[in-house]
Amino acid sequence: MDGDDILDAPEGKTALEILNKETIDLLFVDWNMPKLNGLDLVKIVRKMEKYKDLPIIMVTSEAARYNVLEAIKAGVTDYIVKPITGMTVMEKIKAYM
Amino acid sequence: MKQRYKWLFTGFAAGLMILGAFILFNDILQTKSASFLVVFLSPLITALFGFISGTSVEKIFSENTILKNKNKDLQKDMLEQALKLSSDINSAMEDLQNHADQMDTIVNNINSGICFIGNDYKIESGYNDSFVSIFGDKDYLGDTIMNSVFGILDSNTKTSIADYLELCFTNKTATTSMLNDANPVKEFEFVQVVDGSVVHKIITSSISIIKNTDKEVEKIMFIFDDITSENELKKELEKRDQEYKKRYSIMVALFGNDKKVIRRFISGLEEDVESLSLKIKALKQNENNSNTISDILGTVHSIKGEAFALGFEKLSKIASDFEAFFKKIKDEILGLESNLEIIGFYEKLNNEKREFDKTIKVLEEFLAEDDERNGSNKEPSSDLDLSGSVAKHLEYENVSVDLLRKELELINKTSAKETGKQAVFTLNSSVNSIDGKKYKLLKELFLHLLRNSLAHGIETPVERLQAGKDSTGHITLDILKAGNSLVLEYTDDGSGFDIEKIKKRAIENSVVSEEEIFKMGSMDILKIVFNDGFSTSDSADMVAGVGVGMSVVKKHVFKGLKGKLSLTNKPGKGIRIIITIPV
Repeated sequence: MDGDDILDAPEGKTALEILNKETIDLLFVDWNMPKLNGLDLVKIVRKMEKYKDLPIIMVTSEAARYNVLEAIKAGVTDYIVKPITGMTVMEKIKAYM
Repeated sequence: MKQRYKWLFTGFAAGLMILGAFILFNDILQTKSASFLVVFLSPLITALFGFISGTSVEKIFSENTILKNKNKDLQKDMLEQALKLSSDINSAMEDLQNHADQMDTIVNNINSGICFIGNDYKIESGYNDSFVSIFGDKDYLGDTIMNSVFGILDSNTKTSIADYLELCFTNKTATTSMLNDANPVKEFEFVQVVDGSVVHKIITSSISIIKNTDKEVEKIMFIFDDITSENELKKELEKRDQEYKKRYSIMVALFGNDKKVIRRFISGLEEDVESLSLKIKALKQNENNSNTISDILGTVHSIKGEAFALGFEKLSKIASDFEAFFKKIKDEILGLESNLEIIGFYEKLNNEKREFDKTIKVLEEFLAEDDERNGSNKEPSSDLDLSGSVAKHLEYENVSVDLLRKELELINKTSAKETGKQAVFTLNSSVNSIDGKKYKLLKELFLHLLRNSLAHGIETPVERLQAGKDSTGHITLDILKAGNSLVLEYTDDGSGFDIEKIKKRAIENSVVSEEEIFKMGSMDILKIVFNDGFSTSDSADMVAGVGVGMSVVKKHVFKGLKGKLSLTNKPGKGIRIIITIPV
């Protein structure tokens, strides 16, 4: 990793383009995104060979069990429940990188 | 080497024996030269022979010994090695056994039930004692977890457990904590039949993933905890909490969240109980019986009224019974002066006092718990501690007039409700606070005036309307500071004192004779009202009627507050009482 590059995307499709072009080490995904939602994005990313073991952290406002199950099935590694703080994000970054 | 000499010696000895034999047979042989040869040579030859043969034999023997020794050493070594090896194996086995025992102890000492399942969901060996104690004593080996642990759950839950387990075995990306969050049976009910009765248990579960070297999930460890008793405790606590909240809400409704009123009542009650016990002691010693009994009655009457006004019905009832009982004693004593039966009454009185103490304790506990609930820093610390010393400490604090207003408004409200009358109580004051030592006396005094106003003075709404008055009565208290005095003016717009009724009662009770009454002016007649035990009421109730109230007013004003009292009676229009006390 060259320094701590952070690439951000406003929605799923842009994220997918970036993920295709670059190779990233850790992915934070919001559940609710326009055009391509977080869950579908994760499902696609997991199918890409280079991202087989990528730590993917879902950011969600719904902590309901049903959603967690769905997220696990899609291939999410871990999740953060909104409202998120710098602390929780840093914790996750430290845990997965 | 020694062996060799032995053979030499043996050879020499054998030679000597041949020589001896030769000498023996010398006569027979008779040949000198031959005998010489034999004599000298035979020992030598035999010695030589002995030496040579001895040496070779010795050689054979010694070689044999070396071999033997070598063999022995070898055997010894081997044995030693074998022994060492076996002891090593033994100690290793012991270590292993110890380790296994330790693991067993640890696993079995864990209160959580632990079991492992493979990807066929079958329970493997190694489930611990707690697992058995949670789910019942039977052989679980090879049984699927779906049947044994989750057997009684509904089919929907079972389906989601099966889905979940499949996910746990196949998923490679999610963390264990995330998987645990998705656990559909974080908490579930387990039903068991123990000795013919059905036992419901509340169980929590969590999982731990065990992966093999290929990072594939090999086993899932289930950790179960029986939280039934904790759950019950929690429920019980919640229930109690709700009960307290309910009780508290009643209190809040009564006092407008001002606990000071209750606290002051309790500290006053403590003083009262203390003085009651002193008075009872005095009564036992037969000192001034009638005065002491009047004092006791005054105190109890105040407690009754205030407790009732504050909504402490039980305490009020005790005080009321106590009062009725003591009234009886009083009448008997007044008639009989000394009565042996009175000893029995003391006992009853003491029991009643103990009841007071108990009630105080309950109240204190409630307030303390309430403080804990609300965080204790809301109230000044002196008010929190309700031990006896604080009650005394409170005496020296100035008390706000607002508190007096609040308490009297409350008394007005409950008394009005009890009598079915309507009255508005208004307090105006030019001072903000009252000396703590005087506060209690003043409060009691106005408590009795208020209650008497509602019991006797203020008419029912219908009566008032008939008399051309407002249906709601008006009671006022104005507090003014004039020089070194505090002037307290109390008025009500009720019917005023009924002089005829007082006269009638006074004659009935033999307070005065008919002739005397005739000579008395209305002012003198009014003084009778303040006599101890005088009442115009036919029956005593929670508000008034035992003839104690007005005598308490008189006692407090003259004795307690060292003040003066003046009364204006306007028949049909109300009363005005002006109390002047030195500051």
